[in-house]
Amino acid sequence: MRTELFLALRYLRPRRSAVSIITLISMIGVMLGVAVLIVVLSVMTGFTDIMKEKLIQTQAHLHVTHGRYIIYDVPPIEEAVRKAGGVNAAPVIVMPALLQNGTRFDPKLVMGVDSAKIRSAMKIDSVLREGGSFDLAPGEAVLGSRLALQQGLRVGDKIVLHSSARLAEMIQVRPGGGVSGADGGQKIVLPTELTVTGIVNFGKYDFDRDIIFMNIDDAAELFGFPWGSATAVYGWVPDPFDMNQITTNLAEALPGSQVETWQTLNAQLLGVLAVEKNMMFFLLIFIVLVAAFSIANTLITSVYQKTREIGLIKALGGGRWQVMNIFMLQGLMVGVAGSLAGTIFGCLVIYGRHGIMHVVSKITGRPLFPPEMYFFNELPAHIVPGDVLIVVLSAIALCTAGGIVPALRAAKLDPARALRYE
Amino acid sequence: MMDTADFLVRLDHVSKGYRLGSGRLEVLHDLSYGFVRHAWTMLLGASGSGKTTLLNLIGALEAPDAGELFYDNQSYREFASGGGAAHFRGRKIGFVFQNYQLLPEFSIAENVMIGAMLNGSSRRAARARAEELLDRVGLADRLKHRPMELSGGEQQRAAIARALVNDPELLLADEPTGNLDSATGRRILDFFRELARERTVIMITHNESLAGEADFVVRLSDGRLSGSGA
Repeated sequence: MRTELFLALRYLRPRRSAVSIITLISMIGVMLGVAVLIVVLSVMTGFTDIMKEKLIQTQAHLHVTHGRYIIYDVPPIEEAVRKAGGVNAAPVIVMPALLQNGTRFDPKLVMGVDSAKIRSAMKIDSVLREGGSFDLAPGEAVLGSRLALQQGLRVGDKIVLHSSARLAEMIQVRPGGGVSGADGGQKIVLPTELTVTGIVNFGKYDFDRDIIFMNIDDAAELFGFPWGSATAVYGWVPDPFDMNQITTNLAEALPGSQVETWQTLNAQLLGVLAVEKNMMFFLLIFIVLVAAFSIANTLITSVYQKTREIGLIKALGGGRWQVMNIFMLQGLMVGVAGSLAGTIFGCLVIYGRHGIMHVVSKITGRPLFPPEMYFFNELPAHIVPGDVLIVVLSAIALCTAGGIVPALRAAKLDPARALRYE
Repeated sequence: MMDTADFLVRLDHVSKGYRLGSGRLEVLHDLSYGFVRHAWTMLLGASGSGKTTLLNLIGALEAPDAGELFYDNQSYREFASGGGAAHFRGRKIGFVFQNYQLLPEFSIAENVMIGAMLNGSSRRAARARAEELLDRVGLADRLKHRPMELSGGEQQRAAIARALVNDPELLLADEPTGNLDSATGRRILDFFRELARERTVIMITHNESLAGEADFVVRLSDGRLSGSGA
């Protein structure tokens, strides 16, 4: 193999010929393909990772509900979560409500909580903006950062919340059709007024845009639920990626309840992300495939150009395998060199992605990844060595395969004819 | 009277032809001859007489259609089976071509080394052997030069060094002086004479004036042996 490597390396050495230029272009093709694959897969992995992290942070690890019904007896469920292996449990009331800001009404998501129970589990102190408080005493509310920005609300401002339950109390729908005020239009149910005491920024666009935290007892009153009830009990476990045993234990302990994990609740989203990543790999590997065809093309041309030399190598004692290896090794070396260059280039792009995004955004005058579309304020990325290995090995395999046809042709050449070739 | 043991290569009713369009061109017809060991045999013939085809058969670059060739009383079929022809060529035969056939991407030393490396020599051993042979042919100061930087005579000397790199028993030369001026050609022929003392040399040429150089002369005409003699 040393001799074949010696010959293959020399044949690849840059010279001012059309073949060496095409070889260089093929190598650049492999490099770009590998770099694009690494960048895209890393960004998709980073996106998935940060999405999971934010989902876990904003939704808890597991939810125990009674389906569409309210949970009246919360303590036994909290106890069951802890006994099943959970490290924390907290009742919550999560319901949609209408936020009134002056004459403007916007649907938002209210999360009624016991501040002491969720504060550490949801890492509130890391997302609470300076000057705010998350004590959530009665009459207090904490808003998502995007919501506060869109509504022009600050700490100390008052907000008004309407619930569908309260609005329904004031309206009577007649059986034959038509709508009128309840009690002859005399019944008026006032909305809840809260004081903004804090603003939180979880870094998840839709959550920060919609969320209003309030005291769980205020929430029960707003939605007309009995005191001490909840729509769900949130649970947190030591390892949110290994919850099978805990959910099994819980399902057995709470036969009338529904136990769902953050993974099952977001199965569709997580599934789409996984499929997208695989799709991206298969689509972008075509760049490398095109480069491999280019390598095959170059090597076929090279075999024609070197017909007499191949004949000579055979006359000097070079066997079929040796001749084959010379051309296979050229494909392999182009693949290895292109893949290495692509890996370095891809990692550099990932490393400097924020600067690149900034420059591109400045040139185009618009953000490259608007947070309202991509949920996050910055472009996440996570280089997974396993992914890089798969990309590099695939690229090398394709490039080596590109050398098979020319190598076979070279190996089959009849030495006597090859030596006569003009 | 010679015995078969005196012949390094022996032809036994060998014929060879090629398909040409819809027809067939018979190049060699029922040739039988023995090439004497450690002697210089000159194959003389006009262009198209089948000299190169015969040389290709002797060099195991092609196989005959009929008849059999023997090397050291062993049939070529035994060497050629299982891809053994390449191994046989590499170990037993050295080729010298009219147009030198040096690889343009490689230096003169590397051109010589490749022959040894293809047959299993390490790079270091091949380098040492190449330097020794190039010194012997008077090219010690041209090791790093590319073929294009050498004269025709120098290129042919480099090609002879390459042919000798595996110390073959048989040296096949196809019009080695065909592209050289008479003075350079003379030097090459002298070199072949020297080589013929220690190995078997078969040289083909169309130049009748070279007949006197060899120990044996075989004439080929229209693919038939028309006469032979020492």
